Amino acid sequence: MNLLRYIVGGSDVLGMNARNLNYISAGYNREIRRTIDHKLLTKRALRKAGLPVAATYGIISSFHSLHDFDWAALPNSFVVKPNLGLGGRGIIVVYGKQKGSTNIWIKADREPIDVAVLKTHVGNIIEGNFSLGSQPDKAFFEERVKIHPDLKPYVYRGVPDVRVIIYNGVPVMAMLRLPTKKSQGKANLEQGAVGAGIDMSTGITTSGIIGKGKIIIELPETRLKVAGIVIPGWHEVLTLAVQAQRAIGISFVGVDIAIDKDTGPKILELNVRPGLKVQLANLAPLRIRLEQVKVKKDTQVEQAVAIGQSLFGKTTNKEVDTHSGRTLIGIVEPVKLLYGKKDLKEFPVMAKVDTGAMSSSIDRGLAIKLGIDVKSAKTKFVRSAIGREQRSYIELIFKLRGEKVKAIVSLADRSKLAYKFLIGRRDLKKFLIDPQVKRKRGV
Amino acid sequence: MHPLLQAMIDAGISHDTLVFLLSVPLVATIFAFSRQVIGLRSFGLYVPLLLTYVLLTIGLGPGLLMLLLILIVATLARLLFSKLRLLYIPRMAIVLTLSSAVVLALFYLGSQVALYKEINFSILSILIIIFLVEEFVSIQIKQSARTAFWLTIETLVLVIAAFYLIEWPVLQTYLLSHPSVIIVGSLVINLLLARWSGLRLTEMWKFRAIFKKPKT
Repeated sequence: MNLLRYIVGGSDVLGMNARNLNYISAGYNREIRRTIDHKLLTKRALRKAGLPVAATYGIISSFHSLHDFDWAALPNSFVVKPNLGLGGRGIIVVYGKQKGSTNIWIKADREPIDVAVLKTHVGNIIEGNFSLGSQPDKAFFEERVKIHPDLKPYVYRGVPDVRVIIYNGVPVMAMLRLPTKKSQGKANLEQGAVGAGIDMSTGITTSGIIGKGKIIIELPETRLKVAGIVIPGWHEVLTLAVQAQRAIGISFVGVDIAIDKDTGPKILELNVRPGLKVQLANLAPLRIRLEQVKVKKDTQVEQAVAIGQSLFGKTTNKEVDTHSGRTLIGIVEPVKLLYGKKDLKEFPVMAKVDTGAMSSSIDRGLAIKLGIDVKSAKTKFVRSAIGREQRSYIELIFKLRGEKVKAIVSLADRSKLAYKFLIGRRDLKKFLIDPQVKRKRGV
Repeated sequence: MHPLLQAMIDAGISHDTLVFLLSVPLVATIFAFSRQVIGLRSFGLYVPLLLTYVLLTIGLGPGLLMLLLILIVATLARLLFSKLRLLYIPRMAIVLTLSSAVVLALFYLGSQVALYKEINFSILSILIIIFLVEEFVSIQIKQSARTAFWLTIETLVLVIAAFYLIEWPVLQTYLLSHPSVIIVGSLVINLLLARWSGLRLTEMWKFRAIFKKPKT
C-alpha cells in the first residue's frame, strides 16, 4: 500500500521530478536564474545587499587576460572556481605555496601544482568545459575561508560549509558538508565529501552520509562521530542564509555558508538545484517540510529563522548539552533493555549510572527472566575493589534517552540492590552526566 | 495495414522506413518513461534514439562490437593524453581521429574476413557511433569514468530493449495498422510524464534509509 502511495506521488521524500516541476521551475524568472547561475553575479548582488561573501582575488575571462595574469600577486592560499560551474566540478583548492618556490602551490590533497597546470586548468574553464551547457566561461580566484577551530578536527583539508535549504523565506533543512581526503578539499558530496544532517533548532549534527549516499557513523579515517558536531554561530548562519535568499529573491534555493574563524559566516554560493541527498544526510524527507511552508507569509528575517527552527528542529524531550552536543542524563535513568532472538522486545528498568564502574552490569535473575542465555556468557578475570575475581559477560543492547547502546554487560547478583541494572562508564560515552537532571517518570 | 500507409507503400515508400518513422514516438516514450518513472539515466534522448537506429541498420552484433571497440579506444586515448594537459576541444579531436582510424582498421579486417563482408556499414551509422564517443568521453572528463561507464550501460540496456521491440513482428504489424494510436498515445503519455512529480523507482532505492525510519 505504501508503495502505491509513493507511486501516485504522495511521497514525503522530495524526488528529482517534484523538485524540478514544483519547486525549481515554479520559483523564479530568467533574470534571477541568470544571477544565480553566474557565481560572480550572485556575489555582486549579495555584496550590494551588504552581506558577507568570500573575497574575489581576480577574474580571468579570456585567453588574453590569462596570458597577462599576474600569478605572483595571488595570495598563498586560494580557490579557483568556474563562474558557471556546478557540483563542485572544476574547483581547485590551493592550500599554500611550496616552500622556497614562487610558482608552485600545494593543493588540498598535498599534491604540488605548478603555474603551468593552473594555466591549463583556467584555460579549460574559459573554454566552458566545466560550465552548464559548455558555454564559454570565466574563471575566478576566491579567498579560501579560514577554517573555524571548532570544525577543524572533522575536516581533512579545505573548508567545510553549511548548506541551508530555504523555501518561501523559511530555512527548512540543512547539512554540514565536510571535505575529505577523497574530495580534495572540496565540500561537494559528488566529489566524496561527508554530509551531516543538522538539527535545525540547535545546529548540532545528527547523522551523516558520505559521497553518493552511504550512511556513516564515523568520519572516514577517524574515530570521530558524525553526529554531535556543534556548528559555531548556528543562529547567525541561519540568519545569513535567509538574508541571502531575500537579497536574490528566489523561492527555493540552497545557500552555502562557510564559517571563517576571524570574520564569522560568509556566503560561498547559492544553488538553484540543491541536491536531494540532504534528505539522506538528515535521514528525513524534505517534501513534507516544504509542504509545511507552502503558504508564503511576509515575515521578518528573525521570525523566519525562528519558524524554521521550531518547525523543523528535533522535537525530543531530551536535554542536550549545547557545547558537546551530548545528551544530559542524571544519576538514575529509565532504560529499555532489548531482548529476544528475532524481533527485539523492550524491557523497561530503572538503571543506576555509575562512572566508578568500567562496565555495565545486570542482575543474573533479571537476565534469566529475559531469556538471555547466561550459560554461554564469556568469563574473564578482572581486578576489582575486592581483589581478583571471575566475572561472566554477555552482550546486551539498551536504550537510554532514545540512544541505542551496544554493551558488554557483566552478570552479577543484584537481587538485593535497588537497581537491577547499572551502567558503567564504557557505555556512557554518548552522554554527559549532570546530577541535577531529574529522571523522567514512568519508563 | 492502415489505408493511408498502404497508399504510401504502393507509391514506393519502403516498409522499413514507415516502421522506423512510427517507432520513433514509441521509443522516445519508452526512454522518457524510463527516465521519469524508473530513473534510468541515459545520454539524453537523442543519443539512445540514434543508437537504436544504428543497431537496426547494421545489426545488433556488429553494431555493439563496433561501439564497444570505439569506446575502449576512446577511453584509452583519454587516459593516454590526460597526463599531457591538453585543452578540451583539440583533445576531443584527437580522440575522434583515433576512433576513425579504428573504424578504418575494422573495414580492412572486414574486407579480408568473409564474416563481415556482407554488413552494410552505412556512412551515417559510422558517423553517429563516432559522435557518440564525444558524449561518452566528455562525461568521463567532466564527471567521472565511473559515471560514464554506468551511463553507457544504462543507455545500452535501453537501446537493446528498444531494438528487440522494433524488431518484433507483432509490433511492426500493429504500428502499420494503428499509426494514430501510436501518435496520440505517445502524446498523451508524455503529457502525463511531463507533469509527473512522484518519486522515481531508483530514488525509492536511494532514499530507502529514510523510508525505513519510523515517522517522528
